Amino acid sequence: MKTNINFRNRVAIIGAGMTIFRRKLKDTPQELTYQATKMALESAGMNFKDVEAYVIGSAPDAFDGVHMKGEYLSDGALAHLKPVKRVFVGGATGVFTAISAWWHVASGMFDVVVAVAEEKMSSAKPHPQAVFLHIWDPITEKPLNPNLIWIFAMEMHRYMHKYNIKKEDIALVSVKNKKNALDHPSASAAGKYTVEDVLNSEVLVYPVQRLDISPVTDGAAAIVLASEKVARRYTDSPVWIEGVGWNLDSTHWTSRELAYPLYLEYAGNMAYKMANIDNPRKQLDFAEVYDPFNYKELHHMEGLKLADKGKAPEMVREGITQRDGDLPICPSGGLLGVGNPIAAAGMMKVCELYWQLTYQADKRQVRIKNGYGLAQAWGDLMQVSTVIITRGG
Amino acid sequence: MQKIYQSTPVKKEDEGKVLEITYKPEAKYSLSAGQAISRFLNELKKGRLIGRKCNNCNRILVPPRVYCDICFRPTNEWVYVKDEGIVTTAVVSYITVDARKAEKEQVVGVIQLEDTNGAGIFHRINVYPKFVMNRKIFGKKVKAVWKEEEERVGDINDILYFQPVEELK
Amino acid sequence: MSFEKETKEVNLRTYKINMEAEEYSYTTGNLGEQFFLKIKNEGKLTAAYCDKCNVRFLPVRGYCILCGNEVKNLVYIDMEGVVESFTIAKISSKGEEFGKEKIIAYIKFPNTLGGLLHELKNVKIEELKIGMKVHPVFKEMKERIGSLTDISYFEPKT
Repeated sequence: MKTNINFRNRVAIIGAGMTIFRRKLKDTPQELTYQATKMALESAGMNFKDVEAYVIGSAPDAFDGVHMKGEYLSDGALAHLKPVKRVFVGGATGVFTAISAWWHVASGMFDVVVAVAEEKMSSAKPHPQAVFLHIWDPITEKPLNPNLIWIFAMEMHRYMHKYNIKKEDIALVSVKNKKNALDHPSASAAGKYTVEDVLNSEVLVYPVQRLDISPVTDGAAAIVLASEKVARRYTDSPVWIEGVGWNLDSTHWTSRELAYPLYLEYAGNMAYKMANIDNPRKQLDFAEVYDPFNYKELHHMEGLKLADKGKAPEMVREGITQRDGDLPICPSGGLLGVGNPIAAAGMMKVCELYWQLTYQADKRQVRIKNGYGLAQAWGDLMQVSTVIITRGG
Repeated sequence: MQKIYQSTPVKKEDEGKVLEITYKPEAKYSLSAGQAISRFLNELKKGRLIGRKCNNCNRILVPPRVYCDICFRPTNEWVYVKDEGIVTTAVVSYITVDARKAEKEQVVGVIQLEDTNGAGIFHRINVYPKFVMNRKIFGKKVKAVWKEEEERVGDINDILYFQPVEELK
Repeated sequence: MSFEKETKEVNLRTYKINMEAEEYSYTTGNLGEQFFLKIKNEGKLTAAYCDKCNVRFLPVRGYCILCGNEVKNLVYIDMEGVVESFTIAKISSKGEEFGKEKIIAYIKFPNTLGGLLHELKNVKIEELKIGMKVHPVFKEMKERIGSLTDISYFEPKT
């Protein structure tokens, strides 16, 4: 049943843009923000003067190495003397930036809002992974000198243990996404790989290997949101935002069952209810679930009820999640194939909703039947998820 | 059609040829451990694990908190807990905190402490990597091995690691 | 509140930590790099120039802050700047006394939006004035690395 909520405006995505994602880009974070915003506005047929407000998304300031990063990046969006805010929920930031921009417009306060996300992972030395040390509890966990990957390896291994999942099946996700990314013009980690390549790549933290992980990259991505009356003036094919959801679990991750992301189930339910979707497996044409690690795609499919618990690997094995399958997952190539500049990576997934549902995805195009697509991101201490559902046509 | 502006990639081999401005941050903090964690750390120095019990949900929180994060009420009492528990997940790390290759691999994981009603603790586990890879360590009972009393300082590292109670085969 | 509070300070613990990365290395962008190389190689100041708006601005970046178009060119600017505002600092950012006061000024340049922050020297405090004209003193060529610190300081035009 549809949620009984009132909002002033229906909200549409009418433009999207993103930079190339690369290990290191020479451009400054402000310049990357500018490029993504400019591309999104051009694709909407607008320019900077048309924008009424901005929502900026970026993960910890410690990556770019600039504090008050939202304010810093706003220059590149030409956001001066306009209402601006920055949102930050760890890895889930990219999608949350779009959600936040949605309520700017849905509330009736603004007709045109730009949501832009940027991350420059290459600034921090010796490696951005060291910055992640500071997300652990500073007193009871940090003294053990944890690497970021430990936490995901622990979750992955718990997931494998609980449902008896093989690494070969998880590796298929990397193979699929890196192949999909061959058709993405911004991709940094696309390629033809085999399951053996993944299983033979360097073991970082068993069970996590090099090709199980998305590469750290620099990049930015942006979308333009408009109220219905403005959207109709600019386009015949607006992509409507039909549902949004977000949810945060306890920070005490050691006391939680890691094999299943309950918080994502709740976030998904919130978005499904609002979008009037009761059978996501059938009603969604594709989903851009968050895939910083290959097992996360499976984990998230289950949390979003696109697969039964422990059964997502079967769907991958059967080819259902391929671009020409019954339920394409990450047709963009995802973080594993395109790259992972934290907040920008989540926004890249929202951009993909726009390109797919307006038939602009070129070789990446999936078949659109019901017109629904979903994007999701995830982050913090394995505890938060953000979900957005859009409808095209 | 998606149109892309060209940003300028810097290839790995061109590193150092591009002008960059460097800066060394010196962000030094002194964090207050608070009431509950202070006691926890002081008990670690004595070789004991202590938690706070919530009489509403009957959980014992380790590390202890002054509030129960489920019931939203103050916790009720201090309770010593056994330094034993069941391994719920474990991994083998070959890298350091900043992604360099580690000199020696190390096993870490989560241990669900006995009789706490769900308190998990994150620590090192002293076990051969093969028992992680074949997942034999999962579900097994492990016990804390402590530093010598005179070496303990009241830190989570006063526990050297957790060790299987029965030898794994 | 049922919690019996520890009040003896010796039993309350603190943890000393260092945050963030060992070092940051910031790329300066295509125009930014040229800006710093002009300082390093020529001892000259430049600004970003938008030919659509006919406007020059600092700090340089690859887009026009007025019209939003891409900016690809730098132009040389008159290095005689004007003190827009100044402050007299007695302690460092770490709270240590300098011993001698340090004058920090925000300096603007003719027909250029924005400006630069830098140190002023060779001026008596009582002679400091907003609006006074100053110019940069560069380091020796061999000491320059391509940074704003290649300018040692600004001083009044004599």
